[in-house]
Amino acid sequence: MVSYKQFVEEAMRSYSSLPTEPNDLYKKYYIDIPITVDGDHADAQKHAAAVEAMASSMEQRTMIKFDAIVSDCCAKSINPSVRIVRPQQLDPVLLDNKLFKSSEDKLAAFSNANSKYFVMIDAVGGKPVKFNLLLINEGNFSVQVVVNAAENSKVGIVEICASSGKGTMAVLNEISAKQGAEVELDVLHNENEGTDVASLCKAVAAEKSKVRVSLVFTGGRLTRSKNIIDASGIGSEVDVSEIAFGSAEQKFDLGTSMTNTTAMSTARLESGTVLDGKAQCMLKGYAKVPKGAKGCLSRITERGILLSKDAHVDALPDMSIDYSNEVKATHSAATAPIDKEALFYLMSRGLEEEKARRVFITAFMARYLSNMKDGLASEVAMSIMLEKLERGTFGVMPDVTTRGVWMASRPEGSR
Amino acid sequence: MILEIKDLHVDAEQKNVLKGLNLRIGQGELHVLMGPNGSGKTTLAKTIMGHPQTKITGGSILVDGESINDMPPNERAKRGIFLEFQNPVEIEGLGIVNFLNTARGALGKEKIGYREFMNEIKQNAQTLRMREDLIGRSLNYGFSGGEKKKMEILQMAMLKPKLAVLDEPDSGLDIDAVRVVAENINDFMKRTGAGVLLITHYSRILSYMKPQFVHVISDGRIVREGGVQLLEQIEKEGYKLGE
Repeated sequence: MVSYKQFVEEAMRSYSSLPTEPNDLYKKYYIDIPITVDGDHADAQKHAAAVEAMASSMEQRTMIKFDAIVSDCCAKSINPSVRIVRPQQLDPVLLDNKLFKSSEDKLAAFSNANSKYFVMIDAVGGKPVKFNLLLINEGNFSVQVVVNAAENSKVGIVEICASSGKGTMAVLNEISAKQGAEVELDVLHNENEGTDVASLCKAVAAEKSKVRVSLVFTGGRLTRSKNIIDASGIGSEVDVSEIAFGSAEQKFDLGTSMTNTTAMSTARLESGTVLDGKAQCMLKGYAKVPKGAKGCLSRITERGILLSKDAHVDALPDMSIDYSNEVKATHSAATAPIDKEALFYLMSRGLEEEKARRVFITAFMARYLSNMKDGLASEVAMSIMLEKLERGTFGVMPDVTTRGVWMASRPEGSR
Repeated sequence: MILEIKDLHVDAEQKNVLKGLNLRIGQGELHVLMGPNGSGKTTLAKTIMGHPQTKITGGSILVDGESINDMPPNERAKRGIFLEFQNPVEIEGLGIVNFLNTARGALGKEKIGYREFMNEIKQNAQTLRMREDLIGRSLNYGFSGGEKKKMEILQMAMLKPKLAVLDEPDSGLDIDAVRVVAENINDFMKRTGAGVLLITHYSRILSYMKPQFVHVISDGRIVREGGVQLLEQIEKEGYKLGE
């Protein structure tokens, strides 16, 4: 069993030695986030008051009641089912069995070495439970959220990530879904332009369990997202949905690696981006279907809309299929400006050109936001996106005004 | 509303498609436009609505005496023109209810309460024999060809234009659906007094309707005009009509 000190030393070694992008295909396509580490804030009390005020404002604007508020200077759990633990106090067994190993990813290693808090959520079978977390970056901040979903439990987690300071915001999620469990994680990153974002997620879905992860990126200067998702049990289902809406000179590097480890498992990834100004985005969906994954389904869909000639997207879906019989594996990628026929259609119904453009873009974004299982979270995400579309602003929380009118249901079986 | 098309010449995809076309549609009139493939029917429909890939090189389109040649599609819609698309686009993520509400607002229609609005949509869907769950979905996304056609007619019923150009509303429909769509167009005309230009290849839909005017288009011009008796002639002789 490793001590916390050994755990951190190993993480730091991995951080120094690992390449930023280990996948050969993506060697030329990655964003390296400059990372700095702070100690605890000297004026923690002042910062804590600022965090408290920000949280209160967020609650009013979003109507989301937070179960825990965590920042680099303070952490508060309002719900006893959400435990906040300093890493030094973590059970060594947990460190030993940690899902996201430092050896797997450079930023995961950074997070393991530097996380100030671990948010622990244990879901047991029976009634579905839901938790809302507010994660605020005041300086440089790294936090981990560890979700253990017991057999047949149902848990939904919403993370709203914001910032008021500068530096790096690293959020690492670990999800362990036991047999028959259902886990839904909705993450909204709306940090300010002074913040670089590292978003990490490792999920393992056991037999007949379901894990759905929806990620929305609107804020931050540079964003690097890495998801490692394993449909590890027979009949397990994992779904990842991610969308980045970039403007000005924002850059996004969204990488998701999915594995259908066992037979009859399902792994689906939907990645999308809308880019304006000189924004850039890399969509790097990778799916692995190893031997033994009979009857499984693996699908990657990557879509992009470019709103300006200077915006740029690299859509790079990739698959490795070792078991080729009785497997459904598909990937597709498409990037284009706004469809002119669709614009004409909307204008023929009375919409002015600019309004028609906005409606089309909003519809594109809504397609991804409808994957968020929490209604309020998707409302918040849409409000932020609409604000950005209309005024070009991000990093602040607008009043939530959409109230579901944009939402459309999906045809059965389309996901 | 009176739509007049005078000596219309139109280029589309760098080809001269319409070559001096004349047509006049008055309030409450049902006009049928038929013609062989490639004769210019859909180009005419798109030109009336102001499709950016149709270029008017001569002649004019007048609404109540005023030229709409240079108007963008949304302005034409505000004047009361509606186009039922031959191939309606799919827009995933755009909820039908939201879309119709936005379109009503853009057209300056009187505001109505949510319940009344929903009831109207549901009632129209019912008379079109559409599944109610389709209303909750994205615009045309995952719809069958027939469902898309019915959705176009539903939009027409909801947006209540003064003149509707229907580009093959019967294509892709089964026999029962053709009758349902025809009945809904009849009902729409009766309720609103709107004029309709109906483009079709088949006379089946017309057996449920009473067109006053039938026009045959060939090579970008109207080559024959008449009443319903012209339909029988077309059925017997095809578009050559005794040439």
